[in-house]
Amino acid sequence: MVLKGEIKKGEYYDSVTLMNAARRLNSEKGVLDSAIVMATQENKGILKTSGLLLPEFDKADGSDLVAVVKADNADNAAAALARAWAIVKEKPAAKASSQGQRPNGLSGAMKDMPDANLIIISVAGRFAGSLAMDALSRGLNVMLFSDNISLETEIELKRYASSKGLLVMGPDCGTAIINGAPLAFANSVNRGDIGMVAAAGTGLQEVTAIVSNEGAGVSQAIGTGGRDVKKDVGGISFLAGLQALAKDPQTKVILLVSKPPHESVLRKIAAAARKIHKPVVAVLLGDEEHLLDSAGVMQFDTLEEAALVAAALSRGHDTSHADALLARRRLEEERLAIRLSAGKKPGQKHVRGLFSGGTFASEAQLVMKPMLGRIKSNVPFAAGDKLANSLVSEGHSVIDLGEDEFTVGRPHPMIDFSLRNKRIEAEAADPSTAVILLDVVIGYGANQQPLADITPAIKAALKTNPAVSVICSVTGTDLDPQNRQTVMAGLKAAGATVMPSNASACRLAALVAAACSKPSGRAR
Amino acid sequence: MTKAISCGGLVKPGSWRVHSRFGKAVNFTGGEGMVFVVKPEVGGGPLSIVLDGTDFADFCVSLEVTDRQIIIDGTAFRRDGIPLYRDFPSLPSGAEKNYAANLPALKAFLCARSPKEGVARAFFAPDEMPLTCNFERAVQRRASSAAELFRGGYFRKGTLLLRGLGPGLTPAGDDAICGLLCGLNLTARLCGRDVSAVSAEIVREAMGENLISNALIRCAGEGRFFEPLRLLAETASAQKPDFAAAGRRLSLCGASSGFDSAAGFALALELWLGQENLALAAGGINGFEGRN
Repeated sequence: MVLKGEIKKGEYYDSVTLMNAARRLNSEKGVLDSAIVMATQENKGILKTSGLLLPEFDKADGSDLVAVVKADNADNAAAALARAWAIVKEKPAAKASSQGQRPNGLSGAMKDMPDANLIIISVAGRFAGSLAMDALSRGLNVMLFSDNISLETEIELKRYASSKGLLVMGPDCGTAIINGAPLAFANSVNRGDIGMVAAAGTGLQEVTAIVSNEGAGVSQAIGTGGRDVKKDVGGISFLAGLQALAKDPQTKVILLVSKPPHESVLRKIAAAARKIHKPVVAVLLGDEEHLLDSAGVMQFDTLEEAALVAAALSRGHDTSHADALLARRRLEEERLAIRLSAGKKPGQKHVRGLFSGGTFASEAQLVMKPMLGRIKSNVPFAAGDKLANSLVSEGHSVIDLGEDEFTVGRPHPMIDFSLRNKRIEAEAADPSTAVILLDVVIGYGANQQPLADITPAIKAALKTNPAVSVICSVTGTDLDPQNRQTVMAGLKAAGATVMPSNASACRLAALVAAACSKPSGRAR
Repeated sequence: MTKAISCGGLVKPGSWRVHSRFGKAVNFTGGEGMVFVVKPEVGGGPLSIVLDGTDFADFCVSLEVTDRQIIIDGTAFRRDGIPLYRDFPSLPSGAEKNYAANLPALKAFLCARSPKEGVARAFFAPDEMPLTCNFERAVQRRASSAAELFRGGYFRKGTLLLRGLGPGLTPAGDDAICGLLCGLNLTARLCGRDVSAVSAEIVREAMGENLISNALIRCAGEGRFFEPLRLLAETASAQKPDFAAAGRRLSLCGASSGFDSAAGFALALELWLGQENLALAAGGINGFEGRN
């Protein structure tokens, strides 16, 4: 780790310019942290507490500008520092407003873009409802990234949208891909003919990424927010999305992703699906009865399976193409399990899943439970499996670090790995841990330097406990800014076993743990 | 043709030299003092000369001020021909009640509209700040803690945390302190209270090495408003406030300065209304109670 800084005597910029520059600098290659600030005593104090203060900054005062970069090596630090000065000197991009200002409020934005038909709302929850209603009344479809919106408001918004033939994605909708544009936490994927509706954000990221990595593509990916498929909301947006895809000439295959909807909502989805003359594939995580099968929907248990089938259908294959691919993956998982279970110590038998994506935490429990039995979690399917303390794992455990209990006052774990990194090291120190199971989500909105942030923790864990296995998957594509292949290679180099999907990683983790629990301590 | 729109009452005679230059403002210094030559959209102020019809990119390199004239780049403007800027808000009857009624909407407005680099969310919605840089997080944490200290009556400690906070030339924390001081003085004026001790303590602790901030804080310590904040104070005192219009003016004042000062002003209103409630419950009003 290298800290490098520079002083520009007598230079000055405004706060917004400098903070934007620091944010951009943080996404430069190898940069772990950075700051570009006026060298006031107060700012030097903050730099010190952030571990970014250099001795030479003593020479700078409040009328000087300082830039400091913490990077993984000297070359990257020097390159980033040089880039810092270029960034702050960049002229701001031309504003959309004819008056050369950022639009203030919806009216100003509409004036700037009178043809807009979609608004993304990311303001504090208590203000988002009225803004969304205003947008709907102006004929805009709405993506509500904001959460903390009351159920009553959600219902009101969605009913109003429905009456106007508009769509409300959210609240708490973190992922969508509309007309090829990834919105919020989303990935750069191939464009294609698979349309998706999802009430599960990371689930939608996983299926869009798998489809794209298989050479197929996405027409539209519509998020609805997890509460949409509950009884009270009644699946208003889910059904509207399904209808829209049914009518969309670009969409040839439809893929539905959700945790099990309420029975009444499921009946509506089934009724709608029956009328659609396009292949409909679904994964309703936790719905073991496959209630949509009777409606002609091809329903699967994992995100991976559903995405591979959708991709196969899109590319003109039948479902056996996906079956064959999955069979090959399972053979590879068994082979790897034999290798990874070797060398485990007595008593080293538990899986510890540490997830940034809530859907992945759910999928992990569903995949591993048949092989391992009881799995404790902070987001369990059965109340009896609730962890007494989310900070302390028990037996086989799956933790969703994106839950509110972990995220209040700090960035989401897809952005900030620090909390999970500490937990990785803590789990490695537990002698009963056989496998640390992780998801790594890349793409827009996610951590822009995942390798720099997570590999030190993985290496430290393997140093603490060389017999532990770190198994993970990378959700994303090679088109993403972080590049999936690069991230996978970096994780492997750090000692992790990287699988092609979350479900595959979970299967492998369960195989290893199951083998370690057998008297022989080996997978068969 | 260049026209002088207004001049602040605290613009002192002297020879001034350029301190710093932005797209809509050129800041002049002379010793400890400052004069700001600004475009009309930035608005007037006690230390501001508002000029219309000029391009600041290659203009405004020299400033001479006498009792009778203001000479900018050799062009003289008669002082008695320039309207004097009005420092204090003009408030309607019932302003107290309206402030109380409008405060939640004002805070909501500031959280929704102010730049994310500003302090409004740190003051009023600290759990809703999606931040990624450590420095940014530290700034927001400090701002948030400062607001809590002010709420607890710890004006000195709150000021020390907020002073100089923020990466830019005019730190967001200093702007917020200015807004707070303006708000405290205004509410004191409304109720006939004396906040001079608290105000003086905040000014004393807030003074740092930043000449611009110091000049602004001195004005705010006397309860003198710059125009965007004055318009917001007047808007918030109305029965039916149009925050959108006031917000447009705030957004033109620096990168986030307008909104930061507004956040400080709203915090002052919150403190005042809280004190009012406490004092009424205790059976009397004795002004702001400061703690160390």
